[in-house]
Amino acid sequence: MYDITRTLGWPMPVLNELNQPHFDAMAEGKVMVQHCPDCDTWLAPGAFLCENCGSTGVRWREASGRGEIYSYVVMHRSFDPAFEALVPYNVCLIELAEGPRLLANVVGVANGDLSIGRAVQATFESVGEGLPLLKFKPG
Amino acid sequence: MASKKPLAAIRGFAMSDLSRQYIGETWQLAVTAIHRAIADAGLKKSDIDGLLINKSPVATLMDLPMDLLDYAGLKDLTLCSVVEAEGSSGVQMVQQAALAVQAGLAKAVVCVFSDAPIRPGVSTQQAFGMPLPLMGKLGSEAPTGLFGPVAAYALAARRYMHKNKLTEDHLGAVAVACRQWALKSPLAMMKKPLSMEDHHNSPYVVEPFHLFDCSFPVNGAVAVVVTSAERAADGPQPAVYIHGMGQGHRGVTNRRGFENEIEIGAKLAGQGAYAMAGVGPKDIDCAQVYDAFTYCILLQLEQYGFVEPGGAGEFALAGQTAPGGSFPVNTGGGQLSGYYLQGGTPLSEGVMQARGTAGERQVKHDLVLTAAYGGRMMYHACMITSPHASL
Repeated sequence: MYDITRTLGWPMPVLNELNQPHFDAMAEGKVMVQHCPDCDTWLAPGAFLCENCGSTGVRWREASGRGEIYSYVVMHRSFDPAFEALVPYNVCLIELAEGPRLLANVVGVANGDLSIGRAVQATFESVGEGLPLLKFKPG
Repeated sequence: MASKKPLAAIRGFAMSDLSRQYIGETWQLAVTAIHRAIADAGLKKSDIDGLLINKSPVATLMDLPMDLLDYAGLKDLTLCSVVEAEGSSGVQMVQQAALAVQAGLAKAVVCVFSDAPIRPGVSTQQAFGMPLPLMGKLGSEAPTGLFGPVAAYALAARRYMHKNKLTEDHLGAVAVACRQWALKSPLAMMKKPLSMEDHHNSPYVVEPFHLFDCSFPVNGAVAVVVTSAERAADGPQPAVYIHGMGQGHRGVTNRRGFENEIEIGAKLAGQGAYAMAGVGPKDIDCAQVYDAFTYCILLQLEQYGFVEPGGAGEFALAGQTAPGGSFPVNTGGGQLSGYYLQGGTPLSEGVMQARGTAGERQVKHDLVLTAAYGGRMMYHACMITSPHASL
């Protein structure tokens, strides 16, 4: 469990040094994840240390934004008012070309056409009252 | 099999009433189960010197506080603690009680799980609808709308189904088998027969999960009294001997090459328990596992070694886990059709089966595997029990 806050009317985690650069980068249209310079391993954001070599020298680094669908669900119920009008909506686990996986909604494709392995690329859409959020689209 | 002394034994067991309505505060249900379990063990409150408490991870310490010992009228304890390992705590607290008894920290330890998530004006969806963290400190579940354990598990189930070429029939088979067991249990909440068609026709909650892929939360409590094997042997109820126990916590790695949805810590937990008991999965007669969602039974069947990896779907579809099948699983209907009391569900049915008091649903029970997990199958604990003091 973690605390949820509202930013521009949208549910968001409370930001801290382990996740803020990822969310801040969305306003600039960038997919920021983490990277270990010591062993050249790309890491999902939120890493405190490199899970491959144990280094604490993990850095933020921009990813290409290309990836594929690793798994996905279709939400048929709303658990939060922000999503009420969107049901049924998808949530996908995207495996970036660099390796890290990110949760995101995939836009521009019908829920029935989602499939594991489908190529996607990053796009940014405004949610709530103008919050830029990382999404993915076919590509 | 090896001939080794049991680690400890379960001498007393009881449950509070179970209900989908508010029937009391969490601590009140806990006190009821504690008192009943002590009586069931043929002991007095003054015989109890240890208390281990398991609250729901979404409840607060106020719901089930340390001073539960005062509410329960227990005094002069030499062991008292809240065990917090999410859903695996139901088994972990029994493991810790066994260790405490072995080490001499306490002689008779009551372990209790209690939860009362359903209240006037609070649905189970609201009670359990917060995001289950999958992405660690990133916290991207909320902004993407991945709410509730049901969504987190559905995401894993989709991956598991894709890897093993499973359909909703394989999930449905699990739900149907659990319902068949539930129809044999007076404790089970779901009492209508369930067909594959009923499963498929139930609404999607989070696709690929239909409503009947999801467990059935109740208000209730489960308590056991753990003593040494010698002490349990002269109790009024058949002793349930603990011969092996294990845990597995693999950690989550959110990047290519790591299948968190399939390679779970249950394997590690099982290996530990089997080695400790000197048995293997082929020796186990039935399994009582945490089944918050249908897919969880399939994956645990594989990870605990009962079925080859990837084979559990067909195993379930062939009815092997159902009444009359070759390997009974969740014989009380599990959390899906019996009652969702987190780790308390497999714990309770495991005790009843190992005692031989499961009535119409009793199966061969020389060796029973009881397993629980927490998070999205991130934290696993299991134990191997038997009515026999030596294997």
